[in-house]
Amino acid sequence: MRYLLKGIITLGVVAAGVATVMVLKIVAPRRPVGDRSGVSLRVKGNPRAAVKIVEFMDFSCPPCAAGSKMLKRFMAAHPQAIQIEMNYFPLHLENKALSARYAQCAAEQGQFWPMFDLLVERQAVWKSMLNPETAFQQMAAELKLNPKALQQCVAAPQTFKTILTSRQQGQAQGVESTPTYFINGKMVVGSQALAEVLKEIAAGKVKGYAAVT
Amino acid sequence: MRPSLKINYFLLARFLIAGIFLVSGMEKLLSPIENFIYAIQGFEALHSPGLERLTAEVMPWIEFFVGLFLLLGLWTRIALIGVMAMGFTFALIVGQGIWRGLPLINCGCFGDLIHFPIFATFTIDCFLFSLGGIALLHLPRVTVFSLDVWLRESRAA
Repeated sequence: MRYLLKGIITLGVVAAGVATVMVLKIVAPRRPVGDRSGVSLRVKGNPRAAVKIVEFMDFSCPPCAAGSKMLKRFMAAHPQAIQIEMNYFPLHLENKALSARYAQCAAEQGQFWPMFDLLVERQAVWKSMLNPETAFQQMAAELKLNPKALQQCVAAPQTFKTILTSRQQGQAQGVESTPTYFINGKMVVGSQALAEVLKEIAAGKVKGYAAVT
Repeated sequence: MRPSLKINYFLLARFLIAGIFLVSGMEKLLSPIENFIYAIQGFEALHSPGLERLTAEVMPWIEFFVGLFLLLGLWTRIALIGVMAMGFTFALIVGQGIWRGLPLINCGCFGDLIHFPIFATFTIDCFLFSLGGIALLHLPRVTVFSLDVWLRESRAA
């Protein structure tokens, strides 16, 4: 009799636990928040592509650089296949996400992707520097960005706010680590997982990805 | 004569372990599973995408229910054995990662809620294993205010 009662209580606890988790999952869904204006400056690729990739990355994270290089190679091989939207997700804010601020300010001068490529390609160099700002200024000079406008933009609180908003949007969608990608809405975390999905896309197995709404 | 107010540290230990496992399990259950899969991949211990996904699906539920059962004091002995088994396994997996010098930034133990340095994670896992073992050795004091005792006493009455 005792074991029967214990069994019933156990089943009740399990059912209540599962129900609580399910209710919390429904009650607290993760949705995009905040202002998304300006995102178009960080989009590249075919707007009619069947595969749309929304990326959340930190310029100083090595797997992010690996993932970005992978995407660049893939895009060069399949120029019509994908569209990429890049979002900032700085993991640490000690330096007020300086690299992301330079990228955002390059975006405002229409040079986001060239700046992005330089930041990614030279990551190992500027990451090891005590003052990476010198490297960022050098990259800006190479891209012939207006230095005065760039400095004003980098120092502007609005620039940092844009980056924080991007980060909050990622957090609201459940992003915890970088790089995180949403490939036609399906979450893919890490460059290893990205490589596997890109293989599937290249093989034409994109049916599993529902269209972005 | 004044009644002595003795603190039952073993009961506190039970609630502490329960809290840790409840929070850890719940955070992972409410987060997208891909985050935990990524954390598991970082340890390079399973070497199978299917096994990594299965672990990421099952482990949070085990943590959650071990925490819940410990909180209620139901199947306390089995739950404590589960705590020891998990503590040992986690310590082993984190330990091999440290030994191999893997670039482990985040253990993924508490999802996005708390981030511990990897050595702290190893220490916490060892601590949980030890605490589970000590609690198991003092089961009568651990099971004060528990459904296990209530069920036993209600039958005796």
